[in-house]
Amino acid sequence: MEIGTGAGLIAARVLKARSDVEYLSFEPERYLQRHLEKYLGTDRFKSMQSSGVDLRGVGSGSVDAVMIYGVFTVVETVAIFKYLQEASRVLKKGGVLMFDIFDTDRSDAPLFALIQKQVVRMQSRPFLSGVFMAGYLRELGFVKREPVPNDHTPYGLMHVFTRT
Amino acid sequence: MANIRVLVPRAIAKLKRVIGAQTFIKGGYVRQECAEAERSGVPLYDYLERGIPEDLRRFRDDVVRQLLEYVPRGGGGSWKSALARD
Repeated sequence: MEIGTGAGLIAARVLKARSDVEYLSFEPERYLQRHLEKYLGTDRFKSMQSSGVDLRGVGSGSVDAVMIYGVFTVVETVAIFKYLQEASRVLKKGGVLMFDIFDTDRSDAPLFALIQKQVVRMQSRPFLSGVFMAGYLRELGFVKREPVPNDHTPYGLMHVFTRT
Repeated sequence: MANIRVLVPRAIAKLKRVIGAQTFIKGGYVRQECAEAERSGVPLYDYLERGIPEDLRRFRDDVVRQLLEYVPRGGGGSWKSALARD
């Protein structure tokens, strides 16, 4: 499952790489949904028009993986916690949660500090600490795994957690 | 009166900046690119692929690789069964 599938840059790769994978996409923009269904088909790909705040319709403990890429940089902080609660609900035990976030604990990437400063000024939104996020996810029953390193882009690491 | 003359243009300028940023973030730019891709007869993900910087592309590929390592081969559920539960 991907929340905020956008242009399908990850969905298309995943479906191409593995023929045994089915993809459930949550995307609020209707035109993107229609576009992706046109090119990715509707056999292994299903798009729902919604954000990740409410994954109504998806069964508890029914999903192998939840991907949230480039979303937490634009949603309200309070929504991030709702996304994580819903991800926790729908994931199977042992399922994986992957997400990226502007992390206040990390400001070493070349463009990171500059962009962080601009976005904070523009949106007046507090950024979350990776350490704080890890603590919250532990409360939800997640175990932290090795993140996917990212030294060159402003979005920070891709955090990886598994559901216990 | 003088205050209004100063404050209103400032408020409008700030509003324009916020709306501009939100439009870009929430898809104004992507909508335009999507229309371009449609006209070219290619999917948006292929259309955008050309413009992705090498660093970001490498990161995205690493993310996909890592994600697939966690998804059980052949044993994954279908979207139909996920939506049918509860």
